[in-house]
Amino acid sequence: MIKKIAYFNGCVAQQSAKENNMATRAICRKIGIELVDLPFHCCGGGLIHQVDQKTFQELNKYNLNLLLNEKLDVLTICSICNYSLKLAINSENLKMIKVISLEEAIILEFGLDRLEKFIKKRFDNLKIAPFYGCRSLRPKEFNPFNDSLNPYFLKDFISFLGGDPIDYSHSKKCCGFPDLYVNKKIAIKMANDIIYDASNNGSELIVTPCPLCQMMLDIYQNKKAKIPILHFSQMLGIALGIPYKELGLDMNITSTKYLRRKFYE
Amino acid sequence: MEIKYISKNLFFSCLQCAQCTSICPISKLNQNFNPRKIVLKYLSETLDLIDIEIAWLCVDCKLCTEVCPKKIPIDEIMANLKLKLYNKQVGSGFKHTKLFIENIKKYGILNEKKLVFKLLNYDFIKDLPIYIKVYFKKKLYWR
Repeated sequence: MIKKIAYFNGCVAQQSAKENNMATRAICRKIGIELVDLPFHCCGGGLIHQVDQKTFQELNKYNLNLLLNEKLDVLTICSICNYSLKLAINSENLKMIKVISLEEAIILEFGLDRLEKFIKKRFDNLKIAPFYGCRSLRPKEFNPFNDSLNPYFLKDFISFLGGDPIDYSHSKKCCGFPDLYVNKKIAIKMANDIIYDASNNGSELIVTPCPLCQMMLDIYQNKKAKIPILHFSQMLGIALGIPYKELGLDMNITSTKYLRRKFYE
Repeated sequence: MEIKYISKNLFFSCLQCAQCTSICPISKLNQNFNPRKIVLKYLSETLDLIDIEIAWLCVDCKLCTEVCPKKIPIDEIMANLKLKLYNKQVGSGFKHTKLFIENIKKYGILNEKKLVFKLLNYDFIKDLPIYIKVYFKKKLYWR
């Protein structure tokens, strides 16, 4: 079981996905995981390793050295950070550092049976669409706990919280974020295809463990869709009975008012 | 910078089954983006620069590599093409990539506000409501 762990929040969760950072800190306080903040650099953003190996190695050598000095494992809340750190660890051959994503930490390390007694609210009869994002599934060798083409961990977790997980084919597809500054039209079409598919299957809520996917689906969704996109940490936070403001639910772009009415009034 | 070596022997192992193309989210939206053809041309060394400029569109979702029955590292082929494009300084994704790297080198972590404002272009008026919304949710703040 994890007691103390280094906290790699990543660039996005410090700025445009602040609510993910807030919610993660709140849930870790609640269930008793101590987060250690270290002055990390950017992980490379899933882009630098493709075009500038030298910068990628410099950035990650610095990050890994911080972890080696503190002798801590590291918790990530962004799928891209998780991937980049694992990539750097593989190339530097530093197998003693363990990189754990938040969902892995909660489901596998903390354990669902221990989590059970913390649960205050249940998502009864709420149709929730899981959206995994590419990096929490692929490449396969970095995510041995997930099935890369038939993912199930988020689905199981939604059922555990009492919700009704929805099966839809776009749950494992790409949200389109990497193309946002290459071809905006394609990127927005990709995001809206996912939302369209989810809402066609009756979903009232989409949950994703990746802050970039959340941002893409939340900010660029068609005005008519109005489906709230929650971070994994926010969904867990609601179930743990953490107040609305502490989870940053008012910071989501698509209104989460109906969740407020349902769970906080 | 080195270009990762991908064995050209893989050329003979590609079955041309087009599973990569049928699962690719980009080729559904852009007919010119065809992983099967790109892989064939890459492995037979018949790609030219105009052909590969489309590689910027690849979102690196790795679905193609995952479904490939012959385990051809299509994601690495795409990364190689992007590296070539980056070194030649061409294509739709070059500006973003360059500014992204400069930004991180300068600030240590990504300064989203600076990057977004540097990437603003003529159709920024269309997205103005989005920027306003994001700004008032206190999301584009640096530290």
